[in-house]
Amino acid sequence: MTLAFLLTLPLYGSLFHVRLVNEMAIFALFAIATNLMLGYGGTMPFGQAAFFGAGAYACGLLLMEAGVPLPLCLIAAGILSACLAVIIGFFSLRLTGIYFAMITLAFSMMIWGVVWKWRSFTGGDDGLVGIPLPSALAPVINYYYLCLGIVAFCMILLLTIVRSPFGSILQAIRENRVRTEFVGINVKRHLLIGFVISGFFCGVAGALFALLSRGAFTEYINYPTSVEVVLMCILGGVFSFAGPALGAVVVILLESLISSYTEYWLVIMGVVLILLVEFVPGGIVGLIRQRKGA
Amino acid sequence: MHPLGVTMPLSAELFLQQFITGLSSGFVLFILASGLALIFSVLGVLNFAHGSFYMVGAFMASTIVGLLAKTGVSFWPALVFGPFVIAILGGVTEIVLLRRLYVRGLLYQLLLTYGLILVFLDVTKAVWGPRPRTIPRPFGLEGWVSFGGANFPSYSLFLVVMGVLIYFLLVGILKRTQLGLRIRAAASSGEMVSALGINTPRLFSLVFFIGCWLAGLAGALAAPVGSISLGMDASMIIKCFIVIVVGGMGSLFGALIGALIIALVEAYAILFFPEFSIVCIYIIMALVLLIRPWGICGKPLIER
Amino acid sequence: MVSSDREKALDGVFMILEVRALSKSFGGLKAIHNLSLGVKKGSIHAIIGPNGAGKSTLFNLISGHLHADEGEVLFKGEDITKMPPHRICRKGIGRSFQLISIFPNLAAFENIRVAKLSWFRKNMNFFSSSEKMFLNECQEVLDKVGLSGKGSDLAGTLAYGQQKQLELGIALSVNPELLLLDEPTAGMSIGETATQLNIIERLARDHGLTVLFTEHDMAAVFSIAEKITVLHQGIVLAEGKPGDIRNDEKIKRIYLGKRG
Repeated sequence: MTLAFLLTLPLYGSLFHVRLVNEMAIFALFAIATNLMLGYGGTMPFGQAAFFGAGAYACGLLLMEAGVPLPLCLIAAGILSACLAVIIGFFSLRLTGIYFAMITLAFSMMIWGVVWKWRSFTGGDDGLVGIPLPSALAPVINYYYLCLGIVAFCMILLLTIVRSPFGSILQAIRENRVRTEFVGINVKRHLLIGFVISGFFCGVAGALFALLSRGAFTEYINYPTSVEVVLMCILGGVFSFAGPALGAVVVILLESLISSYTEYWLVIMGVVLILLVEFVPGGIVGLIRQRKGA
Repeated sequence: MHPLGVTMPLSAELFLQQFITGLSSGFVLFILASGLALIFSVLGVLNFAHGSFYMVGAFMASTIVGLLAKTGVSFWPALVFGPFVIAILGGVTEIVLLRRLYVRGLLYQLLLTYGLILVFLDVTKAVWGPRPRTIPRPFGLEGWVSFGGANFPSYSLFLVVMGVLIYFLLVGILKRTQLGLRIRAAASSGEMVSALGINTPRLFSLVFFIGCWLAGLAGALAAPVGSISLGMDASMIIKCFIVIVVGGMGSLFGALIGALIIALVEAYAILFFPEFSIVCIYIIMALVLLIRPWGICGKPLIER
Repeated sequence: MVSSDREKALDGVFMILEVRALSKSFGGLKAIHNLSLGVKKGSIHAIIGPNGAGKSTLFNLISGHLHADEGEVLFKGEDITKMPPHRICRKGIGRSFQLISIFPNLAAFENIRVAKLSWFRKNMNFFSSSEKMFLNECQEVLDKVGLSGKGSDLAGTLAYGQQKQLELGIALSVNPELLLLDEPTAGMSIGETATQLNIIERLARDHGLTVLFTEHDMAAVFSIAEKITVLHQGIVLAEGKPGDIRNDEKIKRIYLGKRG
């Protein structure tokens, strides 16, 4: 049913709506990729914006400076983010819990700082503006379908990974690290691989967003982005596959609605966030499951 | 745009001046970071909104100064009462909003403090308006003091004195009072504390109160320096965070060392690499993360 | 029990596990001091001692969760002292923990399957569906530990005794030659204890497993152990057959008199 809605949207929705749903799809991918480490791996990654932003900038730079064809740009963005994840993960996974959260946050802020200052390469505060799309994709609707296709493909890959032995063991690590270690798993290495996979898909999401916005900006790497994607996962429900996607839809919808009504959208956003955090355990998926069960 | 490189001849005067500049801003940063470190070691929460309390503290100080402008002594009441207002704000926040989330887990607490940033930002804009404001230095401290052949702003020296006083105050509380004992116990083991019969919820509220008091104090102290603006929260929380990463998570002395290192590096880097001073700070953080990820004064955690 | 029969079945005296001059301190406290110990292949060997004697520390040192200050641990002749836990496990040691260590939010069946997936080196398999894998092998393990019908229950919802049995199942799933069991009957009722001990003994007999376990329940120890090592304050106080230990006055005075 959702599929039908998504596919037929351009027929009756305005361009604004199409673009909004496009954004939701991209962030849904971002959130689901993040949830690999959050809900499935049981860690608190607070620096995912680094991968999202890296993917965005990589894609933009490759397209603008090197004229690399689009498909390669996307893959390269993912690979670059994955490489970043190897480095960050190697150092961050030495610690657990809140310390892991802080270190990943620290690394992502470092990258933000570098990108912010390196005007000559990244455009600094102004960002990378004017990322070109091949003419076939320039119309909003065309890009929308391409994006949906890529996002769907990535999600299928992620779903496969989550259901595979790798995914089962990842969940076991979340449940009990010591026990998983003593059935013969090198926990750190397993988490690192999960982190890298997560980073890859976050990078792809970032690249897609850069193409959508025709630009890459430092906000993509800043800590609010990292916190927001975690928020999307929590809101939607971390213990399900599609929960984070739902969370992404809700957050983006809220932001869009609220900011169109009032200049003071931050405070409303904050209040809504606080209310949701206080009163909705298990996220939206948790609520749905409760209703079904009761 | 400054060309890369030394922009003015490096003299002993300049060296000394930057030292005092770095030291004074370092101590303000320490006061702020100590609040963050305190909240973190006892409650286990990284209070994202700490910079927001600082910002509100600065604006509050400006309001008090404005109200008392007619009397000759406007700053000192602001310094004495402002932080308490912020502390009360923090205490109320903790009791009403944060407490409920302790059972839910750390993640929810972190998200809540992030939500607070958004709320505080707009409320501050609504109450105080979007434009930055300034307040003058307090009477008696507007001038300069000279020694060593250089001139130093008296206010900077005052900040250094305040910072040292607060450090010893905090150390005194931690080492010599019942409260300090409870704080240290809670910092080393959260679960044990309630088992020992210590009223954990009350302790948490009290610590959050003190942490926000420190943030408000830092804000009031920083108010006469530079301008008070809506972006203060973001820039300070980042620096604060770097301080406790570098100095050690949950260590008071670490917060002091971290703050002084960061501030001094920034003070000197501005002379040599004005464009990249912030990168220098990040490099330090990177080095700490690579070599000793739990911070200079932090305790190494068992990797399991 | 029927230890003489088992002795006949053993081919030669082979020390599957050897601990040599092991020492471990925490701060100033010497938890284990110059401890040496040998476990015969195929035997059921118990380690007893009062609280704080160092039993759990010893286990953690053997399984790689703690690093020894001095000394060596040899498994099947190979030095495993500095190996990380996951590699020690793959050498053929299975372990259960004092505080139940299972995967609470996964079904009991899943708990076992995770161990099987790891053992058969499927952990880097990203593309198969794990739901269909090792169905027979997992059920077999559940049957062996007496949890046949409980496969689909969430591990966290099982009764305490059943959780301990599940943990035994997890330890077994990695085809160990040596089982380290940390207080396998702790917190169990008399009936559950007897069942558990039965299972342990049967497994040892049927699969030629060596079992090294720690216990506080003396009846349990004396009923199945073939050899007992008594620890006290980090050193070996005495070692021998159950009968000898039971009659040793020194040991009785130190702590046997207080329990069981």
